[in-house]
Amino acid sequence: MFWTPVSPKKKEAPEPEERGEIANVSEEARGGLSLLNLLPSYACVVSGERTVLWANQAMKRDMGLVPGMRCFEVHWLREEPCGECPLDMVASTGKSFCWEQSIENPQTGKIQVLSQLIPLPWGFARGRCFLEISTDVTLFKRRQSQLELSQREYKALFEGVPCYISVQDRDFRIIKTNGLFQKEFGRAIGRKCYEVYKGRDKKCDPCPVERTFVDGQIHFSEETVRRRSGEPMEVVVYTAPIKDNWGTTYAVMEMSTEITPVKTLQRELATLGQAVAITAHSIKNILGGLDGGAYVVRSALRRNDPELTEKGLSMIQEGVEMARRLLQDILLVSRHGRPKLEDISPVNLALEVISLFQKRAGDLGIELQLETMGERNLTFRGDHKGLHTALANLLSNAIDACASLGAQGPGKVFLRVHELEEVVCFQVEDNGPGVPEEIKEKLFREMVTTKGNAGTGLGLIVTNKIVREHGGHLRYRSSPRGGTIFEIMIPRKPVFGEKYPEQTGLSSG
Amino acid sequence: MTKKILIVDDEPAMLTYLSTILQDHGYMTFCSQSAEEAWEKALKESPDLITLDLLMPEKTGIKLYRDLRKHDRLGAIPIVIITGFTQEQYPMIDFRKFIYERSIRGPEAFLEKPVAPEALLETVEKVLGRGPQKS
Repeated sequence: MFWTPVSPKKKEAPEPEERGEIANVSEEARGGLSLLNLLPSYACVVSGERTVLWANQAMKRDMGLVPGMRCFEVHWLREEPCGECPLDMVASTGKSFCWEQSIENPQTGKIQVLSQLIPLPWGFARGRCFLEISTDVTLFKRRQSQLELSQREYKALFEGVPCYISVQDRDFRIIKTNGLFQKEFGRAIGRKCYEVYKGRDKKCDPCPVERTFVDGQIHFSEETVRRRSGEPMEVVVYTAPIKDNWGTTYAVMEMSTEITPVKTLQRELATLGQAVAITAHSIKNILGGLDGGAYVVRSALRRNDPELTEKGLSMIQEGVEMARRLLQDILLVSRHGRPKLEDISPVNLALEVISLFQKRAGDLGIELQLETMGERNLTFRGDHKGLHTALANLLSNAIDACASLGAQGPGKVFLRVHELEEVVCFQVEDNGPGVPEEIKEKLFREMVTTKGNAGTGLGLIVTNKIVREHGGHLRYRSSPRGGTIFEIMIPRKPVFGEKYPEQTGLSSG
Repeated sequence: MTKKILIVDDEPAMLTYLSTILQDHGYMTFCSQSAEEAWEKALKESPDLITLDLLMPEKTGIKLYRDLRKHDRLGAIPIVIITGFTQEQYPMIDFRKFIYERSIRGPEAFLEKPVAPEALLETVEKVLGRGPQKS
């Protein structure tokens, strides 16, 4: 297979050109050609008739070159010159030409080469000669197409995953986003992450992107972000480093998956679990009261003591009343969705609720006051019955808190109505002893009662549920007067999740 | 001599219940709905035993406990804590810490609400170190 120089002494000696040899070449030119043996490319000299006059070692080794072969026979295993052969063009213009072609390598099959055809300046025996240098770029081509494929796959992945993806630089500036991100958070390229996600003007603390920049590791966190529409969204965020060839993280990819429904469900389940625990505890208290009442009545009958009988019976009565309240609360907690919406005037609602407590507050020597701010009494949409219950729960708690002041009174309870542009705010402030430090954490979530047997512990959970169903917030803080301020904020335009579509004209039962 | 028991609880129903049980079993009872009143009654009546609800408004049950223990004469009176405030319910509150100080003796007994009559009587008898008295 390999080309070996043929000795001119064997057989009849054809002309050097026909033998595929270069004749009449200066020593200097031969020296130049021999240097081409060192090239990791295929190099050959062809005549104007396309006869291979000289080939470098690599070409002889790989191409099975036989002396006197024509270049198309070598490259293409053809019998005719190739249709688009650049040789004539190079011959006529005298300028070298570079192109890509695939040629047959008898050992490895078809290979892709980058070829350059150069007119040689030296005069050869007959006419002009050309130097063709071809470099094997098969591997490079294969890598290139692999790269293109993986780029296509990466793009499909980037756009196709059900995540909001952004790529950020060290300044938390977003440099790339996927389509889903843009759909939910708007155009974000060039803006800061915290600005787009949360409407903040400085970075969050802690920030998973920052941590990934620091240690080059994957981090995750749970965040509440804001959609373009302003609606909150709970997400779990993963951050992964994007590193350069030297292993330095130059950007971070942030992938967020929405978990709002999961979180909602989780909260509801937790509330349900707590409600069951509270219920069990309340029933235990109720039974204790009923047992006690029955004991007292039995004993009173034995003693023939009508006054004690009366006391025992009222204990039983109280137990029954507590069971009724518990049942009411359970129904409210387990009620499914859909507050019944109607137009409510905030001041009227406050007046209604406060009138219920005037007598009780008076009996306990507690001052009960309504304060209004804004005084526009503009109606808003809400569930009248639900909000009535919520406010009554807070007022009742405040009065109980003041009642426990005893001689340290007088207790004062304020119900305030603030009418703001976007929200209606109800505040209930007392000057009672405040929420004990130990139960602050659990206030809206777990069974919390400081009232011994008097409360079911469901009150604040019920209130919180009602307020959340209106898209509002219930929060509390310590009052400067030593007591507590509970605050209900209801948006004027109801924000209902999918679970609570606004209903008109239909009763929620 | 009839033993005197002071019952301190902010709930009137609880006072009625506990005092009925104790009276039925031969004890003389005094009831107090507040810490201040309890303090005065303790000074005046020198009871043989005090039952005390810890969970009274403003932690006054705890304050009363400390005041009683520190008092020269009243300090010796055995105290049974009766409370709905259990460790199980509020694991994060070490309520015994409110009571125990190095210098103060712990309560003679703890009872959790709801209290069964038998449990109350058994505890009171054990603390007083003698059987019940029939009137």
